[in-house]
Amino acid sequence: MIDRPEGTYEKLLFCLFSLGAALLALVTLLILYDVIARNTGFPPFTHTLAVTEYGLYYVTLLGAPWLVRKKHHVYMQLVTAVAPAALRPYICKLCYLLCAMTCGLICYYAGLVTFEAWIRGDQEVRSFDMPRWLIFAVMPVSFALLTAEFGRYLLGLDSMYDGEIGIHE
Amino acid sequence: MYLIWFVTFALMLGITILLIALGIPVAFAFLGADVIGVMLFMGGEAGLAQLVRNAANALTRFALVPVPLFLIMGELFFHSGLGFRAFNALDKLFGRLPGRLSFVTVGGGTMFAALSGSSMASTALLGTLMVPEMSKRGYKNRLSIGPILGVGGLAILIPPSALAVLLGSLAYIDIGMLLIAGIVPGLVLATLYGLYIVISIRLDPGSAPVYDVVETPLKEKLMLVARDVLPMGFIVFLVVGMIILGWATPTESAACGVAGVIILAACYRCLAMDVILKSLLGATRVTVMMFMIILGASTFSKVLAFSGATTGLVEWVGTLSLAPLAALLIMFVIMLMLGAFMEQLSMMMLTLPIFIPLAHYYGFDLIWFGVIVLLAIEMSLSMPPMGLLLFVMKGVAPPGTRMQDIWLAAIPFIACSAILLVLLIFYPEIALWLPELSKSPG
Repeated sequence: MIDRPEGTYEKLLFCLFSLGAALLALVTLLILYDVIARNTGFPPFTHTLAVTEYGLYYVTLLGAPWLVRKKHHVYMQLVTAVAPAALRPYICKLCYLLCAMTCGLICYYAGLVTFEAWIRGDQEVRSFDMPRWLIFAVMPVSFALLTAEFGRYLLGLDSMYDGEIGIHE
Repeated sequence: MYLIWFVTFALMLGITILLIALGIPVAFAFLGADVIGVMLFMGGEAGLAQLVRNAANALTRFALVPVPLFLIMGELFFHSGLGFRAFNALDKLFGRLPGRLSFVTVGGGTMFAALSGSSMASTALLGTLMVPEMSKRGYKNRLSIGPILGVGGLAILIPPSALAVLLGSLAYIDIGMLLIAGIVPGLVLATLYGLYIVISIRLDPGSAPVYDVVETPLKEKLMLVARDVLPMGFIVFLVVGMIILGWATPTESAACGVAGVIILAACYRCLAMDVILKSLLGATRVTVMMFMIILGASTFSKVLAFSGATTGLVEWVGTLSLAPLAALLIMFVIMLMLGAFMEQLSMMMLTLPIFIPLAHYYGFDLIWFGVIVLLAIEMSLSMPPMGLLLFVMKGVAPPGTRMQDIWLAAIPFIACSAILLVLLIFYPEIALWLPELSKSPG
């Protein structure tokens, strides 16, 4: 089932997720082309390996905020489901706070690593050369959006938990 | 020294499990534990920068590529309706056999699980499709819900299995060989399920009442096999056969599998843009969910290794002078226990950094050990009280089905898996014969 986005910000998250899906389609096509080219004598595409590997990394980070928004990251309700009803909202808030803090911290350090790589002019040498900051750059963006998403839950604009004990996937 | 590794170990595991139990999404629970771990054991701020670099390294790995490809394949099967066609064909083939619906579930479910590569998808599909029909026909839960829970887990053993690829990639086991190694144990398990159904019906014929079925003529049966079952064999050949024959790597064969399903769906005129879009978005969703967990857990294993906790544990286990079999069973039981409250990938990410060094220490064949790990995961998925598939089944079973009914139905099928475990321990060739065969020259 496709989750339909509502509002500009949600559309942005969905766009990033869809971009990831398009990258995945590209990866599939590149590998298929490689198999066909190798067996038919066509010239192979030399960048398949690099594009595929970076592709997976980008797919993951581009799609992660949308999954938080749509509650598709896997989590287990053990404590939240069995805790007394009066305590439950506080446990939920604690979870959102810890997630937001973790993502915020990683966003900050990912930004620093990206900035350092940019200042130093580091190059990633593969079948094609690319600035190393370009690899890291998606991480602060993704984790900033993740922080915002958990912040949204923390502010009570939505809830991630439905109160049913078990594994949610 | 003893204290240092033990404290590191207890702290990292304790924090991760606590955060997961609190309800924090697994990927972020690992990341939270990572942040604390790198601050304490990997040089504070420098460690946090390292966490960022690790995240990039964890996912830029070609060995992970078959995972999303297998997922696309499974989603295409599901959304195009090809899976249903094969299932309907098998339904007609079984004719008036007593307990036919249970056999259809095992036969069709095994095929569907293998082709879809997703235990949750097969359980959800079979639960929706078969349980209402079987309940209407008077089947008892152990022969209606039970087989579905059993075959749901088979998707992990029989290729193309996304989890086997992940296991191979994370534990540095030859992915192609691991995929092939799952075939025979998977088929043995499906046979054990079939035997249980036969014995169950013999002992209690009322558990699967016989009813009138319109007999399908032989000619039509042959036609159904040729039209709806054999082409699926073509896909299995593309995925598994090409690896066995050494024609393609697991990644390439997975891409060929995707192409094969698309061609097949186009031939059956059930391929539409909507189907491709839904499949792609569905596969991306599961890929992101899985890979975020890997991203979080990659630093977790690094912290354990860097702080000396992994080495310390292996050395400590060495001082215990445990027999290899005892060590294997302890690891197996730990996985089963974790599976009672944890989903399969998280379980793998939490235990592999510890179990793989131990497997090396005891000199286990890693392919064989990989199959044992997959079997443990398979069992834990339907292990009461919290196995993931039990909840999927609860979600799709007819109203009024109690959780206790689902637990009781799962137990005989867990026992079948336990029999397979014993067989694998005493006859490792069950898992290793096919990989050896594909390795041998000529």
